[in-house]
Amino acid sequence: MKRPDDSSRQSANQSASRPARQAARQSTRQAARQNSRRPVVALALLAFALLLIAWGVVQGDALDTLHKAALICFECIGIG
Amino acid sequence: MQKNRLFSGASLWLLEHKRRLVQLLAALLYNLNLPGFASASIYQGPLKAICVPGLNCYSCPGALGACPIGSLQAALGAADRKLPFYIVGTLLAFGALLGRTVCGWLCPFGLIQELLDKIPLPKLRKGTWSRTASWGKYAVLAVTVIGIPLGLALFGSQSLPFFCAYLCPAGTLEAGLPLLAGNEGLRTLIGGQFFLKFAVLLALLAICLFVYRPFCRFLCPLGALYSFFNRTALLRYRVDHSRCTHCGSCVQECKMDVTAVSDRECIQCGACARGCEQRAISFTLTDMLKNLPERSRETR
Repeated sequence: MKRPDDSSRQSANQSASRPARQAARQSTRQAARQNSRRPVVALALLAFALLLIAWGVVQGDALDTLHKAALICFECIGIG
Repeated sequence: MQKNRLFSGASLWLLEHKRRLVQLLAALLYNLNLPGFASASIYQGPLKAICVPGLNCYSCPGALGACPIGSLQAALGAADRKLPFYIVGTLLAFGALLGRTVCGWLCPFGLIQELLDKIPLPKLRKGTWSRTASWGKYAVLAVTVIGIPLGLALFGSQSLPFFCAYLCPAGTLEAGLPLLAGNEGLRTLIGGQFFLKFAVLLALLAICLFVYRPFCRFLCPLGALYSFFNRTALLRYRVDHSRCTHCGSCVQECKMDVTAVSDRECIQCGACARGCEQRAISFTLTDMLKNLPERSRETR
């Protein structure tokens, strides 16, 4: 596998037209901004998910899942 | 000297095949109730209350955990009409943490499809047709997993997990065939529905010989669910935009119907990173592990 090479990157950049370069630069900035926000979004979703799971357990959903999964599911094997 | 060479050879093999090893390990961990296969019975312990991240039928004799899609349908179709907080929370947690990394690394049915793809036969290449067909899984999710079970529970007062009953090939392969092979009582109940499901399974396995992961790409409702989280998941492939030259080799290398790294179709298999000559693509987990020593030095 080749190492990142500055000269090849430069030549690729030179071959692109100016509007294309500007668009690429803009999308790079946008992507960088999004990248920095993403872990926060994922962590917030994870925290919300844990809250839902806890609420579900209190409500008895986990037991419902257990009752369904502990019996042979006739629909799943095609005879239900 | 020879021992060293042997060790470095083994470690290189492990590094190259790490995804396959994780897939095998996940399939084994999901189905660790091995005596169940001999007795054609299923595990009924408390672990069955916990959903596994991948598509693995809870009626498989080896299954230790619950199938998230089966559990979701059962909860939506339940007579008590409670909101399924536990299942939704579980799916949300797997999505936020892993996204479709589950499809690429932790799904036993995905592994089976990938192994069938290894058989050297002419392969149908991806294109506009496959990109269009990839929307099919969202229809399967909306209609067979959510719409029909919920509609029947609300208006027809009956429970029918439609996806499990008529479509799911994982259920037929992992649960139907082993249970029916070992249980004479169940064999007497076989009817048209079983033959329909068996035909779906056979057709899908045949297509797998010519098309890469057809079930994951076109039909899997679990993949459709996780795809909503793919761009924000904690574990995913990420592009270093300062290195990227927009050459497009990442999309060309990928066998899935992606238009960009970590988009809704990306199963985080890493083909893009191997194909990137600029080394602009990396896995977030690898980045975190690499940055750990630096951070610990900074804090000292």
